[in-house]
Amino acid sequence: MIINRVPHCVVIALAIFSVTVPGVATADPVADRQALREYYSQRFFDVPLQAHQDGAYALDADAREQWLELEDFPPYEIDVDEGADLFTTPFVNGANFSACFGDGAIRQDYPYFDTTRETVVTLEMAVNECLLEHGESPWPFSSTEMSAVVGFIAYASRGATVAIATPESAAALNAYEAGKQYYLSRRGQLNFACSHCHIDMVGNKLRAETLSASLGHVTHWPTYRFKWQALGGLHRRFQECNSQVGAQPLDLQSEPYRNLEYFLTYMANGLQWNGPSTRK
Amino acid sequence: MEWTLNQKVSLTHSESMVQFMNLHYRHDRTPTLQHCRWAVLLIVSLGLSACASTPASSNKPTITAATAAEQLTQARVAFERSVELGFAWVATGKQIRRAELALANGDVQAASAAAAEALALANASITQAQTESTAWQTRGPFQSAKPSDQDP
Repeated sequence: MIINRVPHCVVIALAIFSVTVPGVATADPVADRQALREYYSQRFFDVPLQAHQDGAYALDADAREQWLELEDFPPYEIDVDEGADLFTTPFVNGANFSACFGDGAIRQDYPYFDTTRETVVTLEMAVNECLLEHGESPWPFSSTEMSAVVGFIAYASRGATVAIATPESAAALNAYEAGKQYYLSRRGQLNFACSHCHIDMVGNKLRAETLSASLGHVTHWPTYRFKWQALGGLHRRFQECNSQVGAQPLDLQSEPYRNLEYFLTYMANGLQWNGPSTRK
Repeated sequence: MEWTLNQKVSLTHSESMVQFMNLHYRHDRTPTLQHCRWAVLLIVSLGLSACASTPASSNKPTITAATAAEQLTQARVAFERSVELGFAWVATGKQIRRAELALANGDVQAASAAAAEALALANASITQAQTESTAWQTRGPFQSAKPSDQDP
């Protein structure tokens, strides 16, 4: 037998490698997305998958009604107007954001995996790169200017379909797998993974709030949260989730958060971009 | 002493009860109240003598500012390791800051306690990182997920 001639140490090393290295060979984004959609379909058989783009409001009729009433006079309206002004304000070289983003309806182009830089590029990163390209200083990711411009772009892109290209290169698959690993890993003193709340316990109540499905987690950002009293981005929410389980939050737009956004956005493929929005 | 039916009958009621009790308690292995009393006295006296001969503080190492500072350094190193792994806990940072403050105020005992707590928390978060390097694969509805007994 050939296998008997292979030294045991080689077999053991291969076994350890296959378990410990985030395997490109094991990553199958298409199958993952299909499995997640199937899971939510079975869990909420009376909720169309498309409805998950409204987050917890797809699962809680009373909360949905209140939310829809809020949307008549949404608190993010002022930020969107400010974002529109900033979008058309000339840079020092006379150009403005239109030079990078056209009419602003480009939310659906982000995030994407940049094969040259071998990293996930988010919309916030692209905004700062546009500023730098035109001789401006980049904005802090937590600034009101950043939220306003991204809010305007999200508003201009409403109705577009989430359509992230399936990761194919080894680097893109690694980024996707890293995002998936982050999503499924327990963290913090409370020892919770994202999946514990948003897959295992989805639809249940955490205090007074309904735990939403991950399928629509990325579609509605930036969001005006009453808790923040401000418009804020998806990564700020990641930070808050980390803090809630006792984990030290990472920096906004850090690589793990961008990989997580990449993974979640791929899971949301087929839903509609519907930001900015309002949440409690 | 052997009992026969005739002997039992010949005794008065009170005598028979005394005899019966004696027989019962002597032949049974159950300790009498007398035995218990002596045992309790023995345990109490041993306990008291132990307390008297060993003051509570005599076994504890003396904590100096240098010892507390060393504990704090160890906690910081472990915390940095957990940050590198991406699994740092908020509570660890809080305990480190508490230890730093106590040390600055000269409260060596409090600094040492907080540093020890911080080190324990940091080590727990490193263990979490090591466990999760493979455990994540068991979660979610994904095809790569393998069943696990640990998760509900």
